[in-house]
Amino acid sequence: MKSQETKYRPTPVQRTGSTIFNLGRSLLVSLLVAVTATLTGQENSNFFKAAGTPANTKVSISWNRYNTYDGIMDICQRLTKAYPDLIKMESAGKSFQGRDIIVLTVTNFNNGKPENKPGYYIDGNIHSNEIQGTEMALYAAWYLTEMFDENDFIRELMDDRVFYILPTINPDAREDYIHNPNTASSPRSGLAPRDDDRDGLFDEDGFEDINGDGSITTMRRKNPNGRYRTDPADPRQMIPVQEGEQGEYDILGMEGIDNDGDGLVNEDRQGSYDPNRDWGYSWQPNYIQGGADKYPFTFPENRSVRDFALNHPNIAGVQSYHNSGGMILRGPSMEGGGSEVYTREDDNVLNTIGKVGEKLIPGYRLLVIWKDLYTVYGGELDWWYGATGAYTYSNELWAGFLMFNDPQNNNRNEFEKLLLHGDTFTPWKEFDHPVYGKVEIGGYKKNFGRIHPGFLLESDAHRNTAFALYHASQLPKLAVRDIEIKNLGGGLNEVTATVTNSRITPTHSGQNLKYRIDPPNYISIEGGEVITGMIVEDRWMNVTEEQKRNPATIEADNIPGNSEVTVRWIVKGGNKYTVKVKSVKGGVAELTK
Amino acid sequence: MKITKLTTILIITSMFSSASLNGQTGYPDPGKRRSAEREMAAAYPDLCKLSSAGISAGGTDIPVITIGKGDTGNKPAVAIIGGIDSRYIAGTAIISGFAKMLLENSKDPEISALLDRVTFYLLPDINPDATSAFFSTPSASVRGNANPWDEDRDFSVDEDPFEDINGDGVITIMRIEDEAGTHIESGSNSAVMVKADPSKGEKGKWIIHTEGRDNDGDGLFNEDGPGGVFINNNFSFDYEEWGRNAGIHALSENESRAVADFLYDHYNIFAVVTYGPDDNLSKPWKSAPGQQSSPQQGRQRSQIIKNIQREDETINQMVSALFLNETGFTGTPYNMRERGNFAEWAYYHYGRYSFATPGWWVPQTRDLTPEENILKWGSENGMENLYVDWKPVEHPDFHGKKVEVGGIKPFVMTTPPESMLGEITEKNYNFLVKLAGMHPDPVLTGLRVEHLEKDLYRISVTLHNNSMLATTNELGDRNKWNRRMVITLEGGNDLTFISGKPKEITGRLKGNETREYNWVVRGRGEITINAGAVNTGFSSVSTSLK
Ligand SMILES: [Zn+2]
Repeated sequence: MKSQETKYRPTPVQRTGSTIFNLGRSLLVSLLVAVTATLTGQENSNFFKAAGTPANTKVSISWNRYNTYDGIMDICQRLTKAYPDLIKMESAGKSFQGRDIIVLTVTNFNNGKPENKPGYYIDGNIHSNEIQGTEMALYAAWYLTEMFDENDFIRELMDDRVFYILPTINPDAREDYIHNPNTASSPRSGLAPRDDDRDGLFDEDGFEDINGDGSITTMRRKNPNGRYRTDPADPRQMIPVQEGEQGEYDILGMEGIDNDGDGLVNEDRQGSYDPNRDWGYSWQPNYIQGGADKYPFTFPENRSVRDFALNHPNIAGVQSYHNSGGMILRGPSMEGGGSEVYTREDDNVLNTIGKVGEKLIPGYRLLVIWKDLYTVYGGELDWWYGATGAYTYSNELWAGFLMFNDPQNNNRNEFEKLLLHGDTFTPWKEFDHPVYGKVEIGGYKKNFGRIHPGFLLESDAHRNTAFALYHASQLPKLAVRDIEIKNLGGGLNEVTATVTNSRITPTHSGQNLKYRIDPPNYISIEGGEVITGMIVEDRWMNVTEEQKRNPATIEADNIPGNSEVTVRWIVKGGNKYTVKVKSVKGGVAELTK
Repeated sequence: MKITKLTTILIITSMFSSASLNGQTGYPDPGKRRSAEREMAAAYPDLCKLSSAGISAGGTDIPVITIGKGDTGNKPAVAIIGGIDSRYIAGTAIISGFAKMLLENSKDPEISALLDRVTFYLLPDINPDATSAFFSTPSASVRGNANPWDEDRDFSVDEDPFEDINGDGVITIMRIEDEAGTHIESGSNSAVMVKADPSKGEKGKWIIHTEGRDNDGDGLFNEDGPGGVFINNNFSFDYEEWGRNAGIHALSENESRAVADFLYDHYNIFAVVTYGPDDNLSKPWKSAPGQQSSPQQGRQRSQIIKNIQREDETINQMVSALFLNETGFTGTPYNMRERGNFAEWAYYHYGRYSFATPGWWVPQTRDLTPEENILKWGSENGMENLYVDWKPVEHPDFHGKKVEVGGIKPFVMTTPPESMLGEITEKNYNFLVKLAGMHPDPVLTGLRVEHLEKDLYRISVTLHNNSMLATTNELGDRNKWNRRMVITLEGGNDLTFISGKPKEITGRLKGNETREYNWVVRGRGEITINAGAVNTGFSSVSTSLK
């Protein structure tokens, strides 16, 4: 729609922070680039290429750690500097606290306009604590650019697809997760203040990092009648007491105090809404869908993505990264209402591509959200499919399976002890608590349990990227073939052309067709005066459907996956004809004969 | 309704009025209305404040009139919304008139006492882009805001608007004589076209279109005019995804967001009254089995609640009876409910008591269509300018065919003559004032202090809701956008709490419900107990421990 095209225009990048800070940072960035360049020369002569990993890298990135917002900006800027013809960076909008929501456009800019290529969109970190989606997204950007010169598959992908990569959709709370004391599960929310307990005060009682380890761990108190005792197999852990056993501890909850004196601990923490229940398709309010806020797209971060999506209707495939559990999630997310009705074709496309994903990422299972997991109203995935018609997955990154590559062994304590050597456990230590008196505080730090340990991050990033690239490769690929010209006498020619789509994904999903989201595919002819035009439904039985209005541009509602559409014109004059196809999500192609 | 006595005035008005294009005259245009509101605010600076809730898609201010005394944000409030649907221009006039009456009566002891306790937020015109259609020429029933919108999803926007073919300043109906015609003239009034019913041996004679041309040559007439999203289809309760005029998603529009943000920002609102197409004041909403929101009553996880809760239903019935009693209105308006409407949103998603009415209607008559009904009422009451007589025109899209333009004028169905406005406003005023007086009213009573030992005291108090309305309604109680009442015990010298807490978030009180609170404290001095929330008002009692 025109209105959307003019209404939602992303703003150009504006960095946050002071001028001096920015000067400092750009200086630092150029310095880093310089250092990297010198190092690169040495590196590349000293190493032997490992299969499937770019060897002649211009941008060195460690894929065994997590990046702060500045770290993300730094990687994006280095990539953009190193590959100006392959990657561009812009801001899709501002976060609640004013950070830029960075989006990378990755494609071969020397081969066609990006908006004329089928688009593949990746984001990560909508749930603030689920940070590794960002690294997965950045890995894809890095891999696509660094591999461009080394690999034919990647070159072809970059020639005729465009990737829109949004490393973090929720930069404010990512920073909070990294820099402030949190658990592995907090914050899920963004940082707009909310009155969780409805007493008229906002965010008045959050966590406190009493033991100062940067994480929110557990508080326990000695009690011979407590419900827990030490686990003999791993004395760091507690297990529930069985009937007849002597107890040792009470578990008091997560580290914190009663800040507002209402007798409750940590009851109104920062934010507390779910950015992934904020999307404008099948949205429901908070008493039906926990985490929903005022209305769809309450939050500026999501609004930025909405506007970006509506400005890039060529996006035909989507991956939105979450953690955890090792799942390739697909819609629908609710039964009986909203976008639950997927056409058989859409169902097939999602299952066919998703099954390949299960193979590429061992341990990950393809699941339908409402049926296999739970009902979600107002989720991002349903919005993408429902409002744009794009085929969408959400991968839940990190699975217990990855610890021992053994579906039978999910023992995280053993894994942490034997493979991480106790690196992420804060030992129990005694503290005086203002409410509870003498307590012990300890437990796993926030970087264990939901995000990948360093040594497994690159491996899973590669596998998930491989799935995204496979999905991107299966977006429509259109070609005009077989222009057949038949002389009808009297200066008239019958021109018949076939337009093929050689990939799994149709130009228009069932949802797209149902609600006429995108214009049809336009197949046009140049090189003579068009008398009439038609779609050929059966070439051999000569079944056709004439298009009376504007016959020079035939409107084909859909070009299905691995299929073709035949069109025909009766043309006066001309001896050389150019047939062009233009499809919003299928790209452009042409042939002259 | 007492309408007969107005008949003579009406005839005179219609005879002498030059601006009788709509069948209604003298409604103040938005400019005049706004300057009247400004004068009013200037005359009552202590009681009335004007502000803005936002800007429409077309760039027009969405006005808010706040009427109340002192700390208006901390008293229970009624929000009154108009202009949600441009066909209901009367609602805007009623709200504007209500404000004027309220201020003029503010010295009256009863009103003065009411304004001590309650705040009014009036948003008379939340869809000003559409309202302007009423006042423009040609006048057409345009309901959308100014946001360009591809109604027919043909990927060109606003390409087929109305045209005033007969040049009479109003957009009415065209009928084209055709063998394949589907419509005939109504037996009740020839201005109304009705579908021919073959079972009654009727044969269609005319094809019907709205007045205009097929600008894009797609065989449809006026299917994609300028604008717009219907604001009363753009709210999130029962929102229709991809609905024709529903917007890109629920609350996508400046106007709907402006009004929602205003309401969410004002936690003190306990009831919303909507003047527009929706109605639960002549016909209360109905509860349904299996639709109770409370998990104890068997709600399935994630089940969407689509019916009013039983306790709220009772309140709705009571308020409806009050409305009918105060206004003297009879019968019910035609059911004009559409998906994504504001009035239901105010209950189901905003979580407040929500009452809705057109503010005026012609009661339904059995076996008559709404059009036939209004014209019958008009002729019985001497109104002659409600429709345009059929007159032949030359229509470029129908060469050689008999085409006539005529029929009922836009806005006639929903808009009373201006001369009736005073009386209608007064009736609605009486209701609104009574409704506001019913605000939730928790009161602390029966404070008792028992001296147990040395400096040890037991303190008891009763919190009673003096209103028929609950402190939050049954559905809204589960909605995080409603405040909960807080009860605090403060003061004293080094007070320690042996039993009870200095601050407690407390559950709702139904209408007329009572709850008791107890503390055991150690200490001495003056203590104060305070209870309430901004949407209920506060109550406090003090005593000293000695
Ligand atoms: Zn998540």
